[in-house]
Amino acid sequence: MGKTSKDKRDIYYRKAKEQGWRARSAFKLLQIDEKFDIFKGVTKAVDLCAAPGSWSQVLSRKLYLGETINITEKCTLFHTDDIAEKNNVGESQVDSKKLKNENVKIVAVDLQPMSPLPGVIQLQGDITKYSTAQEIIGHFEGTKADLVVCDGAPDVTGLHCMDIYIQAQLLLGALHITCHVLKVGGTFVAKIFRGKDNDLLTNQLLTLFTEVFVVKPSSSRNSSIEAFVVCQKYNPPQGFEPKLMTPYLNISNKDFSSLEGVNRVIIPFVVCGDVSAYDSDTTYPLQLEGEAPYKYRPPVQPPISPPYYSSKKEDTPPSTLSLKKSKDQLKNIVESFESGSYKLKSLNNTLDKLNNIRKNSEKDSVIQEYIERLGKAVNKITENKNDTLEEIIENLKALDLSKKEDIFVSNPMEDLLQASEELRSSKVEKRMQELKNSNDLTNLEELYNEVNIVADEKTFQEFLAHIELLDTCTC
Amino acid sequence: MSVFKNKLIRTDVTYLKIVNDYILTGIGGDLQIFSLSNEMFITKVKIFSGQKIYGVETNKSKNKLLVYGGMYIKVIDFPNVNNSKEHLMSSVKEWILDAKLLDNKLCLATMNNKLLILSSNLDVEKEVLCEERCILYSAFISINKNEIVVMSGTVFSEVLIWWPTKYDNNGISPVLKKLTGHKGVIFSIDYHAETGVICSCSDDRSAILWKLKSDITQELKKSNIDISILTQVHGHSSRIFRCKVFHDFFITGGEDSLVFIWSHSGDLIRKIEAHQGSSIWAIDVDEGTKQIVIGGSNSGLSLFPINSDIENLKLSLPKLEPPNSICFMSNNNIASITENGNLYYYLDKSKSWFLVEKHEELKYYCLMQSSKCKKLFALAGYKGQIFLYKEDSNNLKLICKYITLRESRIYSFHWLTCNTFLICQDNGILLLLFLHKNNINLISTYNLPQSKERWTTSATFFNKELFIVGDRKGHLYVYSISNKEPIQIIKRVHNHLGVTHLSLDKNQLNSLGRNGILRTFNIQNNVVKVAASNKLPFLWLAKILNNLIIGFSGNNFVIWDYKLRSILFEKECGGGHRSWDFIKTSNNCNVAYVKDKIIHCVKIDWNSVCPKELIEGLHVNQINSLVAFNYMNKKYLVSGGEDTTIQINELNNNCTLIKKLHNLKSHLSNVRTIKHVLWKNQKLIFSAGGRAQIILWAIKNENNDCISCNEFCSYYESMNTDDAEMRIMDLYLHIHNEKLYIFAACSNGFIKIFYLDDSNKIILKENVFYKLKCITKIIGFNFDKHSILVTLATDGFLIFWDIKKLLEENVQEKYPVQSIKCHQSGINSVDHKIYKSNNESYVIFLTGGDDNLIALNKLKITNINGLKIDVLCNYTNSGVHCSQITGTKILDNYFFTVSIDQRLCVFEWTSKKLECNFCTLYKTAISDVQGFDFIDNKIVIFGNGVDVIKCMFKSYMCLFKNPNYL
Repeated sequence: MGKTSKDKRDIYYRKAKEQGWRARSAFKLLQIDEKFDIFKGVTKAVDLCAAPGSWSQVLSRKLYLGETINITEKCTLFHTDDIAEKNNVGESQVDSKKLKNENVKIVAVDLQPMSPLPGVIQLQGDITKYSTAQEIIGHFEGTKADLVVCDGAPDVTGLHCMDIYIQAQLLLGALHITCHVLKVGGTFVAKIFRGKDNDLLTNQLLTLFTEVFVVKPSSSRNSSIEAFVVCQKYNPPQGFEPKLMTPYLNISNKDFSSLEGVNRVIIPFVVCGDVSAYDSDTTYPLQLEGEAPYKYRPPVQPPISPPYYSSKKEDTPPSTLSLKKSKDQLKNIVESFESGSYKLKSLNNTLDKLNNIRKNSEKDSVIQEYIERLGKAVNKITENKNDTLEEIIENLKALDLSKKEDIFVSNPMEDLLQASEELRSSKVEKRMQELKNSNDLTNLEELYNEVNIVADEKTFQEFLAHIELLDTCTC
Repeated sequence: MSVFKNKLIRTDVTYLKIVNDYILTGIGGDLQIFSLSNEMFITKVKIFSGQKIYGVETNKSKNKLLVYGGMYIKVIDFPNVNNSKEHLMSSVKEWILDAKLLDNKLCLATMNNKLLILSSNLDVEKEVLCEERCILYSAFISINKNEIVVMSGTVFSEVLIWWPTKYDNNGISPVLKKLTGHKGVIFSIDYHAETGVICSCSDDRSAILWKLKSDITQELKKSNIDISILTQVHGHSSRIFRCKVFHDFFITGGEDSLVFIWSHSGDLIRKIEAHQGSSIWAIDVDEGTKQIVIGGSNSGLSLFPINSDIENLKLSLPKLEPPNSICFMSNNNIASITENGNLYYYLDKSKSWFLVEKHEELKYYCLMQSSKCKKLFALAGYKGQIFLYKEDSNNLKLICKYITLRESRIYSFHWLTCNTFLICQDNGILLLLFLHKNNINLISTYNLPQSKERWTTSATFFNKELFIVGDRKGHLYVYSISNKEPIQIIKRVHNHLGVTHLSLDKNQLNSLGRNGILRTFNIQNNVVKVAASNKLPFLWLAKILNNLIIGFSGNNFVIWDYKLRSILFEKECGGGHRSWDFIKTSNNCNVAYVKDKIIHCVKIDWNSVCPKELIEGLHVNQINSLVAFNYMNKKYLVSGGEDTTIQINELNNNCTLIKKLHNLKSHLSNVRTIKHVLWKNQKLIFSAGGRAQIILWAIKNENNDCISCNEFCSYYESMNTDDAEMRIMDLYLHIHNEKLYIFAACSNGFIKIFYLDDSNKIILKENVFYKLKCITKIIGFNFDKHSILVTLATDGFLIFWDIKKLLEENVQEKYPVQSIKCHQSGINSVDHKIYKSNNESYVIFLTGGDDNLIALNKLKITNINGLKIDVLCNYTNSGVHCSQITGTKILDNYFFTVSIDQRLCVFEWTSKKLECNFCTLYKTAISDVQGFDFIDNKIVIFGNGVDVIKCMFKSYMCLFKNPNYL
C-alpha cells in the first residue's frame, strides 16, 4: 500500500485534500446545502460533534468568511491548484476585515480537541451529557441559532445494532440541545445510521419539524449505512418543554405497531449531489481531464491524540535502555573483530546492529571509543584507513562474502572445491574404467549419460516393490 | 406460527457463560447450549427474532435464565430450556448493558446510566438514574445482601461507581467514586467480590485491575473511598472489548482476536490467537476444569486450557561442544553432530548424552537428515560420503556406509521413503538411492536443469513412477523414474528463496516456500497442475504435517493450524537459519533447535495448546457474495467476502448444520461476487473483486465424501503506480456459439469482456466504456433470439446492451441500446423474469437501490430497425425498507427483498398491471445483509454471517389473504 492508495480509492478523499478540507465529509454538507439551501440567512450556527472540524470549516468559510463555494459547476468544485491556493489565501487572511462577517456566531462542540478555525468558538464536551448541553445553551443566552448541524458518530464497534442504537442516542442528545437553542423555523441537519428499526426514530422527528427528509449525498458511499436527516421549519408542539425531550422522543416510548409495513408515514428519501458530480463508489483515474497534474498531498489535519497513544509508546523501550543495549552490542562486535573470530555469515546482522547504534550514538564517549577500536580492527582486514562508523559500515559491506544466507555459500572450503574440480573429473573417469574392467556395473558408461536405470534388475524390482508402499514405514 | 422457520444461524458470538457443565452461548437470537465435559452441542432455543443476545444470567438456584439483548429481556427455565412454552418477555425501552436475576426481582443497568428494578412479572418497579447523565458502553451490577452497586463505564474513559439502593434522592443517585486511569471508552467492567478486584478494559488498548481496600459496600460507606490501581496491562494491538476477573487471574479479549490471560500482578500467563483476526466479544472461564471458552465474530466457538503445558529445556553437549546439526529420533531422543564431527546421542529417559562416533571426515561439512519414521538418519559429507544410522532400542548403530562415485560434495539429502532417498551433488546431478539389506544401491541418476544455484531443496515421491523435486530457485521438476531429464518443469512456484518443502496428501501435492505461500497441486495422468495457492500470515514456511504448518515468523518459530488459520504455538528461536527439528505424536509435540551453540528443546503438551472447536468459524468479516446450489446430491454454499477468502461449506440435508470443506485464500483483495456455471461437464466457479482480479475454480467430486476445488486460472492486471485501484463489482456469464464469455462490471465505469479458452484460461477480449460511474451489477438474458446485457450503476439507470453488438469485432465505439432511470442513486440488486401471455413475451425487472426503493418494471422488447425497449408499467415501494436494498429475487407470483435494515420482505405480484401486495416480513439477526439465495425451499440470507430459514410456501396464499395475520 503506497501513500496514494487512499487517493486512488476515493475521489472525495483526494479532492478534500486538494481543496484544503479537513475531511471528505465537508462535501456532504456542501451537497446538502446545494439541494436544500440550508445556509440561507444563517448568522448563528452550532456544530455538534465537530472534530476534526470539516463541517465547522464549511460553516466558517461560508458564513464567517463569506466565501461562495460553488459546487454546482463541476469545474470549480473539482478544480485546479490556483483555486485551492485562493481558498488557502482566504483562510490565512482572516485578519482582513473585508472578509469577516462579525455578526456570525459559530459554536463547535466535540469530545476531542481540534485545531482552531476562524470565527468558530470551541467547546470540549460530550453532547450526550446534560452539563454540556447547559454550556452550549449558555452561549446562546437571549438569542437563538438558525442552524444546528451534527456529523457525529460513535467509534463503531462492529456490532451494528449497538452502533445504530448509540448513533440514535447521539442524535437524541443533539436534538435535545437543538430544542433549546434553535429558533422556531430553524433547520437541523444530523447524521443517522440507516439500519435496523431506524425508521421509528426518523418518524419521531416529524413531531418537532414540519419537513423531514432522509438525505444521501453522493459523496457518502453507497455501501455505507450513513445518511442524513434534514429537518426544516422547527415547530415544536404547544407547551413543549425541551427538558422532557429525552423521554418524549425515546424510540420505544410510543406504540409504533402502526409503523410496521406499508401503513406508516414514509419520510421522503432524497439523493443529493449533482448528477454530473462524482460519487464515492466509482474508481476515478488519479489524473482527471481538465485538471492540473496530480500530486500527492498529506492529510490536512491528522488526529490530535488517539486514545491508544500511551499504549503505542510502551512498544518502544526508553532510550536509555537502548543506549545500554547498543553499547553491549557494539562491544561484542568490536571484540569479535579484534580477536578475528567474526563470522561473515552474520555480517548482515552486524550491519543492522551498527546502523541501529549509529542512530543512538550521538556523542557518547564510550561508543566513540568502541567505534575507533572497531575502525582499527576493520581496517586491519581491509587495509584501508577510515575511521567513521559510516566508513566502517561501507567497508564491512565491501567484505560481504555472504550475500546469501545459505550454508552452501559460506562454506569454509569453498576454494578447496575449486582446486579439486579437475582432480575429481579425472578420478571419476579412472574409477569408471576400473569398474568397467571388473564388470561391476555393465552400463557404467551411461551412468551419467543417457539411459538411466543403473541398478541391476533384481535390486530394481525390490526397489519397485518397496516404493509401492510409499508412505508406510518398513523399518 | 411464523411462515419462516429458522434452520441455522452463524454470526457474531455475542455472549458466553459457563453454568455447571453447560456452555451457554448467544448467536444471533438463538441461545445455544453445549456440554463442557463432552464438548458437544446439546440444544438450542430461539429467544429473540432479529435481535442478538448480549447477555445471559442465572438465578441463585440455577433453575431460571434471564436472557437479554438490546432492549429485550426474556426469562426461561433452565436447564430444560425448551420446557416452558410460555416465556416471559418484555422490552424496557433502553439498551441493557448488564442484568442480574434474583429470586423475586430483576435488576437491569442500561446505556443511559440508569438502574431498573423489575418484578418477577417483568414490570418495572423502580427506576434510579445516576446523577451523571451520559451514554455508557459498559456496566456491571454488583449485588450483595440486597445492596446493589453499579459500576458504569463511560465514553469519557471513567468508571463511575454509584449505589442506587442506598443513595437515591428522588430517583437520582450520586456518583460515589470515579476511577480514572483509562484514556478511551470503557468497553467492559467486571468485579470479583471475593478478591475485591475490579477489572476494566478500554479503547486505549489497556486493561486495569483496581483493588478495593474492603468489600465494595463497606468501602463506599467510607468518607475516603480507597480504590487504587493494582496493575495496568498492555499487549493488545487494538481495542479491548471484554474483560473478566477470576480468583487467580483475569482475561482480556479484543478486536485483534487475541485473548490474554494475566495474573493479578499483571504477568502474562497465556496469549491465545483465537478466531482468525475477528473481534472477540464473548469469553468465559470454567475455574474447575481450568478451561477458557472464546467466541469470535466469525461465529467460531472454541475451548482452550488456561495453562499451556510447555517445558523448555537447554541441552548442552558434553564439554559444551558446539552442535552443527540435530535431529529427533523416536522416544524424544536426539542425535547431534558437532562442528568437530562428533556424533552424540541423547537419551530422553536418562537425560544424558553419549558419544557414538567420531567422524573426522565430517568435521567441516555435514548434512544430517532423519527419515520420516525417525528411526533412521543420514550423515552426508563433502566428498560424497553417506553414513546411515539406525536407532534400535535406545542404541544408535551405523548400518551402512557409502561413497558416491563422484566423491563430490552432497548438497542436499532428501528421504523419500524409509528406504529410499535422493541426493544432489555438484553440477545438478541427482542420485536416487535405495537401502536394501543394509546396503545402499544406486537406482538411477538424474539431471537438475541448469540454474545459478543448482541444487535441490525438497523432494517427494508422487507414485512409483514419479517423483518431484523443488530447487533453490523456487522451481518444481517432475521426474519419471526412468527418465534422466525432468518430464515437466513448473517455473517460479515460489520466489527466489526456494522451495522449502514438498509433501503428498492423498492425491495432492503441497509445496511450501519462503514467500509465505502454500501451493497445492493436482496430478492427473502424471501431469502436475496448480490447484490452489494460499497466503499465510508469515513468510518462511518450512514444513507441513497434516493440518499444521511449521515455519518462522521473523525470529519466532511458529506452529500454525491450517484449518483454524491461527497460530497455536510461537517461540523466539532466532529465525529459520539454524538446525532444527520437529516431532509430533498424538498428544505431544517437540521442537528442538540450535541457538547460541546450545540445543534448545521445547516439549509441548499438544492438548494444552490446541483448541477444541465447538463451532467452526465462518468469514472473519462481512460476506459480500454467496451462492447456494445442489451438486451431486449435496448442498453447497460458496461464499466470498471482505476477508479475501472463498469458503466452500457443505449444508446437511436438513440445512441445520454446515461443514467447512475449503477455505481458499488466493484473492489479493476482497471478493465482491461469485458466479457458478456448469460448463463442459465441469462445475465452474468464478470469483472476482478488488484489484480487478478474477479467479476461476473448478469443483470436482473426487471420492464420494468430499469435493475438491481447484484454481484453474487467476486473471489480474498488474497496475502501474498511477492507475486507480479498480474493483470488479459483478460478473455475468454468457454462453454463445459454444463459447463462454465473462462480462465484468467495473468500478471505473468499464465493462470488461473476457472469454474462456480451451485450456480454461480467462482471456481479455475487449473493454467497453459506459461512463464515469461505478457499475454495480450486471446481468443478461436471452429474449426472442436476442441476447441482452443489462448494467446498473451508481447513476440509478438500467442500461441495456445488445450482446451481439458488444461481441462484434472491429467496432470502435459501442453504445447501449437504451437506458431507463429507475432509482435516484446506486442500484444494489437486480433480478428479472421473462413470462409469456397471449403469445407475447415480457420481461419484468426487479431492482433495489441505495434509495430504499423497490422498483418493478414491466418491459416489452421489440426489434424493428434495431432493438427497442418500452416500459409498459411499473410499481415502486419505498416504505417497507429503511435502508439500502441489497438483495432481490423474483419468482412466479412472489418477490423477495432484503436490506441492510435486517428485514426480508415478501410481496405478491400479478403480471398484468403489476399489482403488488406486501405479504410478510422476517427479521434476521444478521447485520450488514448483503443479499440472499434460494436453495430448494430454504432462503440463505448473508451479510455479517448467514441465516438459513425455511419458508412454508404451500400455505402461503391463504395465510396472507387474511389481513388479521399481519
